[in-house]
Amino acid sequence: MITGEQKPFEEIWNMVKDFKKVLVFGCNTCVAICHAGGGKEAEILASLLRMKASEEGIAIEINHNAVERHCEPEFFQPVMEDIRTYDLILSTACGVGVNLLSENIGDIPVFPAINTEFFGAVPRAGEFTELCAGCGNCILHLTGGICPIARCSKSLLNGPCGGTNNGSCEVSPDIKCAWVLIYDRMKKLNKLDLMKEINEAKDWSKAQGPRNFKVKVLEEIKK
Amino acid sequence: MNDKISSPKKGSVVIVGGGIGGMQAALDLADSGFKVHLIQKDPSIGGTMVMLDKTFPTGDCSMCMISPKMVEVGRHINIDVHSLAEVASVEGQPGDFKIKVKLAPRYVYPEKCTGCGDCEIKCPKKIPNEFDQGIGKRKVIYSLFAQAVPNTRAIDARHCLYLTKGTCRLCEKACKAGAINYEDKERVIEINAGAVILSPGLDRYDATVRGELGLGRWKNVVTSLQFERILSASGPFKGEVKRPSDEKHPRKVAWIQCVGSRDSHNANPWCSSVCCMYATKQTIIAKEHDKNIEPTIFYMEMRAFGKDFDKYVERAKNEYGVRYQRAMISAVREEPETGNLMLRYADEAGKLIDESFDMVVLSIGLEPHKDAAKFAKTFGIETNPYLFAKTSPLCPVQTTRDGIFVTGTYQGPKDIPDTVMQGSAVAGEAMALLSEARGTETVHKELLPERDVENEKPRIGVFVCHCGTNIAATVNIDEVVAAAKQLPDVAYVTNTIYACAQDNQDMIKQVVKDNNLNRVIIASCTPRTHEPLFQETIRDAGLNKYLFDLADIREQCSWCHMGQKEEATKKAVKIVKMSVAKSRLQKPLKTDYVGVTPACMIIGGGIAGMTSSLSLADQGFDVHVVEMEKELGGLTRNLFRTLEGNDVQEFLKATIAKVQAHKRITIHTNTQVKKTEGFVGNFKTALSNDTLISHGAIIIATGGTEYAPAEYLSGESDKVITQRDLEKRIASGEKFNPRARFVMIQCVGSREEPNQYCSRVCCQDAVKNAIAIKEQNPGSQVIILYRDIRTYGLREDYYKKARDIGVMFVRYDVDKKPQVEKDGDKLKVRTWDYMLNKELMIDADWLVLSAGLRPHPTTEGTGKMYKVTRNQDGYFLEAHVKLRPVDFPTEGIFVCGLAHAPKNLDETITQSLAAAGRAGVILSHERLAVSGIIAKHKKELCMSCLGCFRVCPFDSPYIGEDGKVAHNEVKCMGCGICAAICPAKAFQVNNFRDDQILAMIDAASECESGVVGG
Repeated sequence: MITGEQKPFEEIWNMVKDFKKVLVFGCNTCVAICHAGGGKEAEILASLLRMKASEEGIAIEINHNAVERHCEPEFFQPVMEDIRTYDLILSTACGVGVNLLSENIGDIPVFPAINTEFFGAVPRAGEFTELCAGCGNCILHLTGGICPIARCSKSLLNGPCGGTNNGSCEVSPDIKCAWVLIYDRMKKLNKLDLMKEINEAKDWSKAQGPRNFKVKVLEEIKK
Repeated sequence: MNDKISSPKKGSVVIVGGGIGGMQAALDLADSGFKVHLIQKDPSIGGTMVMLDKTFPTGDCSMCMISPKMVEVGRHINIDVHSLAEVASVEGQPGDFKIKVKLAPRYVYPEKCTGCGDCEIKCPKKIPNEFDQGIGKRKVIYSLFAQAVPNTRAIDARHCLYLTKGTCRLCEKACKAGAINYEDKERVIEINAGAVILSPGLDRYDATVRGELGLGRWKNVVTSLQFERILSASGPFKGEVKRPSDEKHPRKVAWIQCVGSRDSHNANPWCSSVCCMYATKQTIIAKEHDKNIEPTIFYMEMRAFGKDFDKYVERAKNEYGVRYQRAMISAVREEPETGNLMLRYADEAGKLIDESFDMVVLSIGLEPHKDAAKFAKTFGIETNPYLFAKTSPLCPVQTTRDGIFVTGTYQGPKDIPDTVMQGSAVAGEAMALLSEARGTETVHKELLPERDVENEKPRIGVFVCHCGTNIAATVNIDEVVAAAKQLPDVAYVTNTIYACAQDNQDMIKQVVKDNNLNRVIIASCTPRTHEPLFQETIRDAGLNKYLFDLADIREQCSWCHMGQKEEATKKAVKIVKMSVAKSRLQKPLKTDYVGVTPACMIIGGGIAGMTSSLSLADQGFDVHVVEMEKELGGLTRNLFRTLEGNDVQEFLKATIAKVQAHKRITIHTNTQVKKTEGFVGNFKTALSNDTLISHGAIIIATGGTEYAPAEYLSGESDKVITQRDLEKRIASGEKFNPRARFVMIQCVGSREEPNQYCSRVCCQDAVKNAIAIKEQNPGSQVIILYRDIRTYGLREDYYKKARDIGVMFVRYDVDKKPQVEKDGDKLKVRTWDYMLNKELMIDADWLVLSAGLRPHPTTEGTGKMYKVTRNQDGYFLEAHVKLRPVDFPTEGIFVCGLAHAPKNLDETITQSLAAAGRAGVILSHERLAVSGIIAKHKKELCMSCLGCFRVCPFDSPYIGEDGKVAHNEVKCMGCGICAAICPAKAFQVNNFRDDQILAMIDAASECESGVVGG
């Protein structure tokens, strides 16, 4: 799931304060689950902005709306006509949604209300953690299912650096050293010998944007 | 309408005394299929608790907690309250008693009196008000207090001018209802009942006897109960702390403890159990009313033995600056010019100090009523030498006459929670005695069909309550009424002095009918106590009860803005506006019903679990006792004698045999609970022995453990043993050296961080063992090193006995704990003696440590499994520390014994009977109503993010078979956490829907609807 956190309110206010008619536009999929950009958050943000506007004595019309997903154009097509009556769309979707809406909306600006973060797991309610970096070339079968690219601060491929410290990373005691986790896991799986093999330098070209791909089956169907 | 065919036993119970204990018993019994006759000597039920201002530790208003209960009793279709009544005789046997009840003349027709009070205004004669402890005055025609139940006035014939002198009759002229009846005569009625419960309550020690303390002589010396009335908002000074002589605000106030208690020469020998804590409470409340007050408590021993009591005392000391001075005051002298009072006492160093105080409060003790001997004779029961009802620690609520039970302070001095516990316990005992007659004498209320208002335009009635002066003194009621009249959809507005009074309930019903109202708002106090009452009122008027709303203008307005009349009135108007905005969007809600499996699972097979199981099985329910160890008995296996001398092992053996023989009890030893699913009435539990059981209630009786001390050379010398080891050695007949010297150290592992609580049992254990040693070998010596000896209640006798036979008591302070060192085969104990002001060095043959109690290690897991909370010390936390001492917030789950807090055997037995009584109330129903205030889940909006699933304290959202989140509405308690966390707004709580909340916010911020902040 894609995670994101709402930007500081002051930053958002500075984006919208010079517009006259603003739509806070939520996305009800990934960012809704992380309590940052769903319809409910869009509604709350719109309300906060209205209060701020009235406090500052500025007349802005601020409304809210939300659709299922911003990353597929069909979802926002039905509300497009209404959206086009605004002079700013403040999107609470992830960066993907902001891009796609910008491409489709014509000459109305679309601003981001959240900072898109990473693909995350939700181990406990309200906690999000990065476990995969989307590098495009997966090696999890070699590392006991624990990703050194996402979870090692240096994305090292062949064991820990000198900064590993009693199971934690030198960057922060709250970050577990990925290579200690990998070692423990491999030991449990009885595959410690695999760790002796050298992982060669990674092909980072697959991690560089812009990336795109097509699903062959769907291509066939389209034909 | 009878449910069952008749039985030789009667399905009704007579309860004598309508204090909090009697009321609890009455409600438990009446709610579980028994007819109750409540006999009350006074014109109103309520007892002592109604006189109290606040209760600790929550600071809740006492009247506000008890008033809804009184009204519930007053309205209960299966409870008949006979006020101004006394029992004259009891004949017959258990199951079938004939009770003659004398009804004193009231001189007012109860069926005509509306409780309006017009007569009271006109009555020309004022006499001292006994309810205000003589500080204020009342009229001769009166009701005991404003919220009295029944609220019918009564004429006090001793003082009535017409009845004594034949002239006046002003009340008769004033009464528009024609309710005055000067011809009223005493009547006698006969009641046929299966059991009798005695809950006559207590009297207070008359401290005027003790001239040296100055009560009745110096004006500024008051009793603790008078001070309670002084603190009360409905008391003589309307809650301002003033001293009686000049109504000035006192600064230095002294409390003198143990007045009339613990004094076998001049007063009562027992400890009254409650004074240490009520004095502490009064100091805190006084400080809250007036921060300039400097309270000092003069005490002998601080007996904060109950659950979380020590923490409360620590709070008084540290947060409120209350001074605790260990000294017994022997005389109070008035300084004639100022009215101040001079107290002389010896300080810790033995120096005599004279200190002047503005006011003195005497912490008077409790004692049986003056007519206790006659009372006992009427019922044919034995008493102890002090005229408390005679009971045994092993059958703590049973009198000497079968079928007659006792609860509350008549059994021995005790506080509110212990009284409530005993109330449920006697109810359980009566249910067990009369189980086959359950439902034979009760009637069901025939409710009017609900009016269908779904398609009607809202017509809201608003009732603005004065709450006497509670609200009216701060909020301008007329302005609130006027403002409410302007609000949309409001069809009727009026004010009322006490909306909760019984006569006003009838008025509300009438108004609803006359004005065709379909929504009702009462602007008064908190929904926490009064909502159920008002909901029932409008249901009686044919409206769905969820069309009611309470606008809290007392707790959230008048009380917190005292003295700011204008602002408070503005706020009250806004609160009413919000309520109207919400009410307009209210919808009638359906109440669902679920069936009940008439069986109970009890976790823990110690004495608590076994006692509960026997009571429930005798009530006619199947019981499963789940015990993790291989045999039943728990900690009781290590107990040999009670303080009073009962043989505990014999009792345990007999109890185990009874449990094993009972055909309704299934015992699962060596077994633990694997998983419980379901909800009140319908639990399913998988046990580790692969059985699956269905049950309607759960009692958690998981017990505790004894602390294994590490202090004072424990484990380093075989001469260092625990109190429990010693008890075992004594019981096994071990012969000690007849001149041996025993040193006992109290509070080992208790009353210190991280275990800042009293283990409650150790003082008595020490006294018990010390007496046993001295009786075996008078030549041996026992020295008990203690912090406070907490032999509360009638246990004080044994403390005295120990002193009388030569046991020595030496106090130590936690900052100066005793030191122990080995000296060959012996031990040397050093301790500071505060009497000598010198260090003592004691050679000891034996060092006996009074090790405290700890929660059982399984407590944490059990707590998590059932999502029930625990206190800081790890003991289970009951739903309400005063009034729900065996319930959990989650319905259908109860707690008893050491799992709840440290307690003595008799108290564990009582609490276990109470848990059985409470569980019996649920299990006796064929079906249970499910509240309409629950969260509604819209599956089509839900994206199964698991937010709700993870945070719900009641486990009501679950992952369904389709892998998506679903919702079990029966488990839902309507707390609304799911609605708050749900990012998709898939959850909405009935009656607290987003549109309602937003409308309320709009009303408060005077915005257009739906544009918050616009």
